Amino acid sequence: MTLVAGVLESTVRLATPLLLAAMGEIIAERSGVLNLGVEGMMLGGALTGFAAAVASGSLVVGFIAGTAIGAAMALLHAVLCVSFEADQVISGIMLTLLGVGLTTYFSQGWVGESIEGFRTITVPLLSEIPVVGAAFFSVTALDYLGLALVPFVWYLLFRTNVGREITAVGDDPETADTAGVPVYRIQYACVVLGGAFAGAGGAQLSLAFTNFWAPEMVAGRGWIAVALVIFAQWRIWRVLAGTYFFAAIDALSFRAAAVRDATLGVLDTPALESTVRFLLNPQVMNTYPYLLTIAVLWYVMRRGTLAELGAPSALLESYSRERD
Amino acid sequence: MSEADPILSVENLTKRFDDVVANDDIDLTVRRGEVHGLLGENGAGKSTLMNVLYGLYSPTSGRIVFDGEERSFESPKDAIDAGIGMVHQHFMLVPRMSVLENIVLGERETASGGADGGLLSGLKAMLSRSREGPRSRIERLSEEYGLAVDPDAKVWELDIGERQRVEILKALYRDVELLILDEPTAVLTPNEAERMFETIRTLVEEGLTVVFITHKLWEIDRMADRVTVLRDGRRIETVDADSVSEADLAEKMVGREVLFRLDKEPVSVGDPVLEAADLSVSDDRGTTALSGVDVTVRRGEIVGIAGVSGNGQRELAESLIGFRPLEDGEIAIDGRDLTGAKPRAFVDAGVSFVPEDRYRYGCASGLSVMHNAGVKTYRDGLGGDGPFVDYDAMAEYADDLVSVFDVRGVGDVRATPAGELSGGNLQKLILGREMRRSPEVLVANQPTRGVDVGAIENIRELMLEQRTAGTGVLMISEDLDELLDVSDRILVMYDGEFVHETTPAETDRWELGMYMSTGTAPTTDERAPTTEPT
Repeated sequence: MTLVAGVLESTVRLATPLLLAAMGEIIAERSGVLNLGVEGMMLGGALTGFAAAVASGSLVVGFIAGTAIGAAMALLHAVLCVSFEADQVISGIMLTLLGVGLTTYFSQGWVGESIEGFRTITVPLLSEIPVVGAAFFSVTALDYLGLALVPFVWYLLFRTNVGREITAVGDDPETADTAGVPVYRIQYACVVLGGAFAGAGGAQLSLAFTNFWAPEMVAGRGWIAVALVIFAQWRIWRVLAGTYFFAAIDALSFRAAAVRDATLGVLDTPALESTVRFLLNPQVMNTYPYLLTIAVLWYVMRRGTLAELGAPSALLESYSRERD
Repeated sequence: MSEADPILSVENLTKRFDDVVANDDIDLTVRRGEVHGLLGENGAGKSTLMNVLYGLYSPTSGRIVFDGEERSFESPKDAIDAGIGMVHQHFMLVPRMSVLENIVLGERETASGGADGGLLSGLKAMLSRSREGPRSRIERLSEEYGLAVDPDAKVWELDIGERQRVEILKALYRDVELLILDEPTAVLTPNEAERMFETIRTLVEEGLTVVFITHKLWEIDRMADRVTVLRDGRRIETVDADSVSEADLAEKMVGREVLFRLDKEPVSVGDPVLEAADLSVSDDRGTTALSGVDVTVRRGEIVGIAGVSGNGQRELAESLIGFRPLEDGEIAIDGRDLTGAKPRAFVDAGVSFVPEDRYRYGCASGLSVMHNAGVKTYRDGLGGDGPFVDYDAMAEYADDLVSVFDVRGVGDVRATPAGELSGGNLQKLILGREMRRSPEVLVANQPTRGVDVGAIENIRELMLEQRTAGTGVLMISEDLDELLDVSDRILVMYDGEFVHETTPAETDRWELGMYMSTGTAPTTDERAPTTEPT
């Protein structure tokens, strides 16, 4: 039982960066701009957040700094893709490579340091619900924040004037323009806001999960967030479900040894032992989120084209008035 | 307010795109309360001029005076605020959003009315929304102007006529005084077009001024008070619509005399050359597009297929050239069974094809005119007998095609990409390619849609030449005049079936229109005003 409770608790904490990054990517993509720089922006958020927290002594300052660096990196993407009409795929991958390179270079002094990260806040009574109580009601402020943002982002996108304008810009910028919607401002705002979410997700990793910095510590979560957006078909509630699914797999691999021992104890089948040992080998388990990403994309894409799944119709297209 | 009170005047307006002058020193005056026709061929600069007035393009030079004030519009929002609305030829609607959402898009309605300019109230207008106020306003407007729509329907569910009504409501919702309609009837069936004309009349009665762009002469005659003719980016003349004949207008528009009557010489019809029986196929989404249709075309005969697009015409054309797999049925060309054969077999059997979407399926738009001209003939000795292509021979062939079929805008056949030609010239290139091989059968889908008056004349003549040469022609069209002028026989297609067969002599525009839009024979009472009492 403790194993299940432990896995659940890690699931909730591991879900937060994925959730933040994927929500941010939904906001950007709904305005028609794909940003493949999520991984880089999360790395930037993780390192900057950690460094600022150590330097200032304040975790809140660190978190804000991490969020801001995500927004700043996204601004670069917006300038390139919205104003200069650069290829969104190339610019995004560039942003990720830039994030990996810069954080690896500048972080050398920070490797090996650790801080006391955001503390667990336990909600009385609710946290005593068996199994799930501790997982959901005994986590850090940032995990609560991530969950609280879900209804907020949903409301912004689906129940406000500006949310409808974002959808219109992402589907058909020319139509939006002729209706008097400020297309470029909307796209800039969405890309930058999306970057802030990714930066915040990265900062959560270093400030509330690991409590230290390690190069490339985001470990592909940014890419998983991009895949989650497709899996969620650009919808907020579905991204919440997808995030927990992936985080659970991630959490299992964190506790690979315990999972393996528990499984071998239950199965007690010498014939299968080597297979089980292989499948539950920590290194092998580390590949599961990525294998799952491939499997999920395979499954989703068999059901229809991106357009049929609900992708913004003008995703990847840059808009310019006088070019027909 | 005199009748000559101008609501809009444009002085010396020039719009240049790099080296191309789209509008050259244009003067235009629109009087308050009139219907002003803007006539010109494709590429004459009509849409560019209107996009400048709507704030989408910024003019290179010139003055725009609207409602007595000189204006310079930075964006469509400025034009809307000043009181100019525009309904574009390609509808500006977001399919996945509802009618109501499309109409209010950009207006940021709140429960307490619009924003008052303050930062806080601006933020509130962004982060809230209102549905009830706009809904009742839309309902009021649609009643007042007779524009019935369901505010909660999603736009993708609407047909073309309904979408157009939404577009007009969108402009009316913004309280415009001047409404620009860019080729409003281009995509409508004849009956929908009639309804559109009534709407325009209502708009003018309610005090609006309407500018409508067209290249159809009879529409000017029907609707416009005054007409301005543009040609090659320049204004030719503005005249009262009553004082000018269609022939005069055509000449001003094209720059030369245009023949309206096609010389259709009698041709004796020969043996069946295309025989298709019981064809059943699905469309791209897997639903039934054709449910067991039969069609036969004889040598020297033009069979016109009438119908509103989307009733199975595209699938019919594609199955007759072997492109779309048959679920059932048989096809024979010149007596030879080609059921289930590949497109190549159809090409070799002498079937030529002019597709509906000429930029996508009619040519490889990035490749040169030469490559496109030779794409169906390069195997037939054009490039020598070996595996190599003789580009000199191919260029010569292409040059010949370009001059015989009067394809304009080609600098060097090896260098000019086919996609850069205008619609009419590309169509002439495609027709040339398909006809030069002396086909047994020609399948042409919407051969003149979106093509200039001058080119239309050429294209129709080319099809008649094929008929004289003994080719069996199957022509799919939505243009009633074309069907009546060119065809020997007409089949009306509705919902994947032929619902009516007739000849031009036995039918008229009205009857065809009714079959096309309802799929059944018109009842006599619908025609009450013109039928004689029994």
